[in-house]
Amino acid sequence: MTTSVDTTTGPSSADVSLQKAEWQQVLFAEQPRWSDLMRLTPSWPCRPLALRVYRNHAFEFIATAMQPFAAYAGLSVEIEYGDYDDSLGVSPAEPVDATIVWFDFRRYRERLDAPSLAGWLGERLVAMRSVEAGPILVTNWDAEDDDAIEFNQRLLALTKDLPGIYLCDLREIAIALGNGYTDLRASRFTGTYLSAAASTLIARRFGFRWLPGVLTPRLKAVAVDLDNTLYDGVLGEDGPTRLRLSEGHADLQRRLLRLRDDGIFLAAVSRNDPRDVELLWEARDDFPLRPEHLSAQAVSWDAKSVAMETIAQRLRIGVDAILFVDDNPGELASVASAHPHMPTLHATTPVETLRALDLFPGLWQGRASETDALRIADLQASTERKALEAATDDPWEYLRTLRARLILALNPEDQIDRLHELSTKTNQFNLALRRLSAVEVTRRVQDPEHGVVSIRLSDRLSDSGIVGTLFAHHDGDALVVDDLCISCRALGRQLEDVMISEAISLVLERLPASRVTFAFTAGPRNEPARSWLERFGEQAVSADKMQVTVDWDDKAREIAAAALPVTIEREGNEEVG
Amino acid sequence: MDSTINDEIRAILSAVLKRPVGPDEKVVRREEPRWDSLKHIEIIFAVEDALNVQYDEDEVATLDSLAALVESVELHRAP
Repeated sequence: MTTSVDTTTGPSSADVSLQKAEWQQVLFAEQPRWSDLMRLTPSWPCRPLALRVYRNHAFEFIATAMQPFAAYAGLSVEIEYGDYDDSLGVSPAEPVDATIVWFDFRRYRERLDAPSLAGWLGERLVAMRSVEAGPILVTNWDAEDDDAIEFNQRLLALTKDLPGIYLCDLREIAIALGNGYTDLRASRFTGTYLSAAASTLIARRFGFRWLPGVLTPRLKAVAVDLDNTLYDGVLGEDGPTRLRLSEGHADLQRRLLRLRDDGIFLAAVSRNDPRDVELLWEARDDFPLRPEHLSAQAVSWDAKSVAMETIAQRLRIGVDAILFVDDNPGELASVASAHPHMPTLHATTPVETLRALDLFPGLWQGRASETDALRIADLQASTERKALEAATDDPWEYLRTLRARLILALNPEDQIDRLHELSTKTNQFNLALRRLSAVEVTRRVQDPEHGVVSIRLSDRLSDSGIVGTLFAHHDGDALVVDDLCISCRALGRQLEDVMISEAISLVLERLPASRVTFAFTAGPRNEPARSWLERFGEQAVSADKMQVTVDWDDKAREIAAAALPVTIEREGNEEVG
Repeated sequence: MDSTINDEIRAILSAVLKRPVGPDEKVVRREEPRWDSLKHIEIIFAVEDALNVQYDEDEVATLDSLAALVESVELHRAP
């Protein structure tokens, strides 16, 4: 595979998009070939990723085959290996981005039954959790017998109970490959039993799903072209009734609907006459994908790079959180040129596009979040909120009509995953950009000198779920707000002041202080947080001035005087406001 | 010697051993520090799927040079 790239200046984003489109036929193949993978070397810069692997059999094949998949996801993996160690000994070590537990559980079959093995592994994972700060990925038992099934069920329960530990399902791959999963020739030379086919499929899961799923922000939307992507044919030439919906295209549309069920926005982007597209949706009720499933449509003769900006604005997300899918490589290159960080996918056959959507980095996440399911309905409600706001000049009346309700919880151990998600994925209203790991959130929740608050928001139009979090610690007579994150879905309802002041009041009841200090870190996209702090603290905030301290009694009185018509509750307690 | 097979295996050795392999260069396992047992299996995996051959366990152990690999593919493909 060859792509001409100017190495003196580095490839342009359009070149990268085209090279990635070429790589697709290898990386998203039903069964990637080892010899093809070995020859892929990225021309684009990749983010270094340090991994530590605890193992009792060889991981090197997986590591080798993983490199091109990780590179496609923008990652360059460096691995520190422990010794082959059936006892899974752990000791303090240099911090890494993530840890992998790569174990052949068949080796314990003669010594431990499934419950005992799971109990032992649970103890080892607790010990590992105390020394490894990043996410821990644990592979399950890849056999088909009853012991493996029982062990895997117990391991799944363990990973749900321990923070920042994620299950990697090898058994699914073993079942899919059958006898082709193992290669006993390899075990004679290397001590592992995996075939080339198994190694490449497992490497693909690590590079595309498991590592990006816990280490990179999740994509929030898929924007698809229409002609020759969702169906076969060109709307403007064939007319809506002569477009061909193959079984593969119908499956692809149904796959998009499953992504929507998982909380991914769907959008259509098309260079067509808007009236023709309206007629298409009216005429083709055999399409599984319906216009009401699309959270945004951008249909015009404008460049698709402009259309993508429109879609990002309508969805209230960054363009880099949208996957753009199109059958025309020229469109991919053009959009990538305008939006260098937007991921792109070349739609080839519907079967291959479907497989790519199954695997595409950033569409899978380690744990499903309750908020994902709420996100799409919440966006639909935002249109109604804007209409309500436009109908009155009185902000108080707007809020009264909205019937907003806040529920706050202090140190909520059952919400750690969501608070970690808010800390790592919120960009616009993220005050200090601390990007706390699930482990760090857990430590703060459990530390009596720290306070962690979750803020849940609903109104009469939708339940937005947990939209905000505040992390603070006690320092003499001051409460230091280490970070403060509010989802962009919660902004625009004029509730920031009351949310934050109520969260601080809740922490102050546990950790009394007369002053509150806010830490700020300037980032590329957190101007909304900076300008809020400047207004709230009545002091200039800039890259040179990173802390603001306010006298809390005065500030609390000021906010209370505003007496906003908002219901405020504390989880497990009575209504307080 | 089939030049297509030769070129293909040179390209595989270059990719796995992470160094250029010249057109007339002899590549022998005992002279290659990176050609350990794990890389040996990677080379076998790559040759098998690139050239559509399947080695048995005993044969795998004997394929310790570029020449041996080329010869083995030619033998497997012989009518």
